[in-house]
Amino acid sequence: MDNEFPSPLFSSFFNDGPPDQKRAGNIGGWRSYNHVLGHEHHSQSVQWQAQNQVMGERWLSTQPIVVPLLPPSRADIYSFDPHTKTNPMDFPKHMQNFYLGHSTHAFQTMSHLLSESFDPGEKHSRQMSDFRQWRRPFLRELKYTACPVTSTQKRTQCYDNVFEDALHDIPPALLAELLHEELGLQRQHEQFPEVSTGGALGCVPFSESNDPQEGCLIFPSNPGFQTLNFHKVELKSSRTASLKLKGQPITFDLNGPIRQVSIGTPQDAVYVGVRSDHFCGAWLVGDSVKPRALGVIQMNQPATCLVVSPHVSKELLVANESGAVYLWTVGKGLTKVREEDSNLYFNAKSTWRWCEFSAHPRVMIYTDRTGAELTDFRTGEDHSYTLFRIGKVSESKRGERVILSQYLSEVHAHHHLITTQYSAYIMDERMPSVPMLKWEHYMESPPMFAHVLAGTSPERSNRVLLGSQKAQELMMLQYSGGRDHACVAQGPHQKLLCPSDTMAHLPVRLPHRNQAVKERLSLPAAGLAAIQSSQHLCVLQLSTAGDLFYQSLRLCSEGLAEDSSQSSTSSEREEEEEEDVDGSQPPACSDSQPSMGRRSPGGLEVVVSDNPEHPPTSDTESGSGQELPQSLGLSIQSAGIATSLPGTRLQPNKKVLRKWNAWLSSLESKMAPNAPFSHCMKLTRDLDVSVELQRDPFMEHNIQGVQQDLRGSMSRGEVLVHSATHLPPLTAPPVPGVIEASEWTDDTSQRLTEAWQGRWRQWWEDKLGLNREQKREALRRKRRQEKKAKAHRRVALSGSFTSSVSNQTDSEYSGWSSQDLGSDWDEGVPSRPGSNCGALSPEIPITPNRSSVKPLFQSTQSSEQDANVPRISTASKQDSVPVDSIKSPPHFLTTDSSRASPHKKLRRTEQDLLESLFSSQEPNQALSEESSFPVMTQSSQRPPLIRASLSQASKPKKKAARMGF
Amino acid sequence: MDDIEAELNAASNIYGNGEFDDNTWGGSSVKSSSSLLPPAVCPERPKETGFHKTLRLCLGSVRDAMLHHRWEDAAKYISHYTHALEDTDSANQLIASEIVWRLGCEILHHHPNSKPEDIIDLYERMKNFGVKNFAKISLDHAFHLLVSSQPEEARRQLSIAESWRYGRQSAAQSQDLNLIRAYRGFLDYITWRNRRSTADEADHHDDSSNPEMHSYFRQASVTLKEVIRHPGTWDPFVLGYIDMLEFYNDQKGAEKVLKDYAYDKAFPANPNAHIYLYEFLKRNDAPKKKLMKVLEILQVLVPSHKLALEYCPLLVDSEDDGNLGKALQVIMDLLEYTSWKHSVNAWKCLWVVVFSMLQRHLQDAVQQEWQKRSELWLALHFRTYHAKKDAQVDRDLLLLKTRVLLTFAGRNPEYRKAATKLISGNNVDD
Repeated sequence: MDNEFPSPLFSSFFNDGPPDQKRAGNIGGWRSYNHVLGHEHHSQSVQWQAQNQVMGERWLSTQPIVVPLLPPSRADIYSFDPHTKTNPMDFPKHMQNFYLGHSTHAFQTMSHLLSESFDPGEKHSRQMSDFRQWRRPFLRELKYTACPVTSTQKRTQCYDNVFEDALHDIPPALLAELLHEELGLQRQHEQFPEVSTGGALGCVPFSESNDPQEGCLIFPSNPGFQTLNFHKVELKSSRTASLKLKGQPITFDLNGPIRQVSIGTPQDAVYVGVRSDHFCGAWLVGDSVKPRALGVIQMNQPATCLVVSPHVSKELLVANESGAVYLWTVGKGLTKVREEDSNLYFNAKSTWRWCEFSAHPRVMIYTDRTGAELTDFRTGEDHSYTLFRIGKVSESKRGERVILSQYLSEVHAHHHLITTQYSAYIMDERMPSVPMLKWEHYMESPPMFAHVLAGTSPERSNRVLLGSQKAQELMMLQYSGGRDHACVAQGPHQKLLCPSDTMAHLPVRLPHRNQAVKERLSLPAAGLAAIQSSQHLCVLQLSTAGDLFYQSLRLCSEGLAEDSSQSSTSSEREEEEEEDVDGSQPPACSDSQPSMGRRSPGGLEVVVSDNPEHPPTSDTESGSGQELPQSLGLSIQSAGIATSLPGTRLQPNKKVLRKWNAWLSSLESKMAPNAPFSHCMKLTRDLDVSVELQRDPFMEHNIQGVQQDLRGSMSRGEVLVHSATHLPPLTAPPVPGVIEASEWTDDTSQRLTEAWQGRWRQWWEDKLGLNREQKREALRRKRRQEKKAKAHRRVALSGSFTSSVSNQTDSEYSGWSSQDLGSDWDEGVPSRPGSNCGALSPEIPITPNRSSVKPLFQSTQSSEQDANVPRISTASKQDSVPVDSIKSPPHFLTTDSSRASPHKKLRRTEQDLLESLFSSQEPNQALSEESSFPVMTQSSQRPPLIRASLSQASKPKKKAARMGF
Repeated sequence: MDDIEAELNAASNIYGNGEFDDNTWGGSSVKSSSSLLPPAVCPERPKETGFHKTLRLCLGSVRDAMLHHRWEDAAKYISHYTHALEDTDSANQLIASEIVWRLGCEILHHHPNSKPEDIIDLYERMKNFGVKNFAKISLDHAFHLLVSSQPEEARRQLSIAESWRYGRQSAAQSQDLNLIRAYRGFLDYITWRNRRSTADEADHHDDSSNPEMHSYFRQASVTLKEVIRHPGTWDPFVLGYIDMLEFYNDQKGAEKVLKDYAYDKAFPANPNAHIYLYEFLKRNDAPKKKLMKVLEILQVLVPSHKLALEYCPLLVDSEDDGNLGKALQVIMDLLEYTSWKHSVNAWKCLWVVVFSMLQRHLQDAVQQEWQKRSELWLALHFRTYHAKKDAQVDRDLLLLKTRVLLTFAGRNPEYRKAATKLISGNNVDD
């Protein structure tokens, strides 16, 4: 009995507080025992039981596809892909559509306002009066009622046609903003239409006995889900367990779309609640009772929930967006039982409210996105305590919200199902806050529909069916317990078939029809129901187009699967033979191949794992040294190969394919061809404003001639070339003049110029300084090499400090050549007396370009110290500077000046520095040396060269170039 | 409690902001609902390498195959997915190892060609793959061994896991380690109990004769005592601990443990805690007043609990007018729950209470109670449908209910008519 509270419960920590787990891909709950409990079996042994058990009941699909229950209805749903329809980022496209499709609304008023300012002069043209004469009787005949708000004039419309899109009624910026917002809202609604929580499909089982099971199906139908249907069905417990409709449906036309159908507990007759946006209705239906409406209530706020009491007849609970919950006793009216302005536990910014009955007829569950509370509404005061809340207690993740709660009155008097985006919980109201059971359901979109079927006997497991709206997924979970023993989840999750899976099994059609069918089949789901007998389970799914599909599952006891599958195909065939063929043509791929198709446990794919090369139990080498993938896939290798064999898929049987064929052809006949935008006719003929173009009679003649020529050549199938016409010769556009790239100094031009020369990349690198490192590196390399060469000379750092400042700076800034020289100079300084200073001072004004001084040093120094001469030559060789270059300064001078050296800038800095330094006192010294040494060194090695350099020394310009070396 | 609320609110603000970032295009009223979409099961990353894309698709295939129970396919895919373990990012690696462990285990459990050793092998490998999952996997490994009836091996695994140390522990890890200790202690308790029963059989009821048994007691009691201090549901552990304490005649200690377990505010409202306390007190012949106190609290927590049927006689026996009125309330509350609607015992109990009240001339109190509930009770219990149903369940029930109704409401036409009809009908049949 439900009165027992399970003892002991599974152990668990009780963590209070807000959730701390981050949202991540949900992988958590696959194989986890969660917790175990020991049950004493005999005196000694303890039988351990896991909370998540490995094995559960095995339910096999009897068919690999879902079966349509009703012929397709005409659905006015024209956009099938919500992603493309209401992507807010697409709003320019939508605006374009608006301007094209509704140009009168977009531009008319402005034209109307402006029409007074446009006076064409001629008041009443003949055409205009003709039109008016024609229009009045025409409109009278049409019984056309003009919109009382607009006062459109024909003339205004004509203006409008002329002005086209130049004058907007609504400023485009404003329109765009509003449209963007609206699209955002619509997208929200499409992604998660919370109004349809609960589902608009219900099934009332009639007979107490299970075989055959009869019931009444309650579903909405189109257009717009405004018709409520009651249709009797029968579940035939044959092997395929097909569902049959009996008789004609009883229909009721409602005033709004049906959002939710709620079913009470079967007593004499069953109360059915139907929720629409602003009104709720109660119906009574029974096996012997013809469905009849009992009462309707209207609400100001949109209703979010309607549930029928499982305890007391004629009682319903209604929740609406204002946060109020009312007890509706049919015939007595509403009593407010609870009201909440805000969300229960934290601000989830949601107006969605839900309510459910509980084990006590006067205690209800009040649910919003943050949790659920038990509320006792016997007394006026608020007696509430937490049943469930998003938080650490329920091991929620961040951002997790309650999607649906359901009272499982038929399964257990105290059990409630609560679903979130990630998980499904079984709560026991006797022990609130602590979930009795938790699954992670792995569904792609939140489960908004749920149907829980109690096991037909206490030892059988209960089945929880969860259905999502957008992805039309169906997930079946199983659990048992809750009475003597704690709740345990059984077996792995099972994903049931959905209509969109059907395409693979249907005969091939023309691509556009295929596309239409595919779109129709992948429409979001709108409801879920199930009907069961002892061995069969039939799951029904309603789509937003009003299509009803069902699938049957058969209970499979262990070991029996193989036998039954063997015989199942034959029995199907027998059944088919019994069934009188209804004239419809057999489909192309209807050959169910009993010889090939062996029914698999999953009912989907059959594996023949008898590959001789990979014996399934070859685990002898699964020792420690084996790679993990292999250890995992020991039996997997063989299976993997086997599954790749083609043609092992279970085929749907002929009867089902016949049904599908009929359904498809019916769908095609009902689907209206996609009407494009109506052809836009713009009438400007009546417009009083006549735009007279000045026409050249000669041109007129010419044009007519060309037109004739064109027609003629077309009829002959030729090409009309310009020379054949009598048109004036075409004027060739002038060739643009040569562009001087150097004139354009801006970045873009420079870049383009460089790009033409193939140096685009280099330019960018220079520009962005990307090659700075490389340059620096090259420079460093150079320096290193020079230093190496210099190492032989054992340059003392102190010596360089004692030398003149100018040389110091030289060696720093002038790069490779100057350092070399500087050090030479340094070496020379201490050995030399400063007596020569000032000897050449008169030459300073002659050399305004100070750089000219430098090469002079070089030459003088190299020639100055006899002992150093050979070393210099080797050093210069190492630097790959040819010795000859020193010999031929004039040549260098000429090339250097034009060369674009990477060190140019550095050299310039050096020059500037030199300039500034030499202008004070140093130059005197330097120049005096310059003047004194040549004579001395001339004798050493290359007298003529030094002479040459000396002679150059007086010519500043050339020496500047020399210094660069 | 207030602090928690504050924290929750603060947390919700954080979420709110997060959601705001998620979609900046919607109106403010819409934001919450977009967060209701769960993340993709295998989310696509903005900049993913070919490797990650392959893994993502592979995981998707594994999942799909598993959900459709195509275990061979799933095995094929997951053997490829093991490449994810070579991910250079340690966080990804950690997730991948958990995926391989969990999904791999699930597949091996259902794969037609797998053997029990494969599962153990997988546990061992994944346990030592990354340190962070060690405790979690060890615990699950032990559970697996327990479920497959290898308690000794499970105990060994738990001991190994218990002695494992690694750097800083996260909160979740420390809870896992606590559980590891607790289950090890519980296994010790079971060993202790087995020893005790063998000792009982051998009639060696002498403490000193079985030193090994007492060492098990010490090991078990230390760990169990430790774990049940933490807020949580610890039914088996508490029962085990109490069993041991009672054996060693520490009744006071046991009562304290049970009282803490039942009345500590930090613990969840577990009806079992109260039941254990009640049963313990009853075993030890506690005074009725004490028992009534326990039951009173339980009755407030769970009005539908079956111990109400023991509580009512206690109240009736107390010979107090106030208590009688209370008993009437308790039993009427109980009968309003659907699960008790057709219970003959409950109706009998109600009749006893009403009868004793009438005997003590408390008609007014009875009528007062009835007036409060008459509307509900007539709809809930006394309709023609209920009469039919009651007749199906038990004839006595029908008679009892008719009698109760007569006391309460005098003449209620519907149920009585139906009942009379049914009874007379049945009589005619007889």
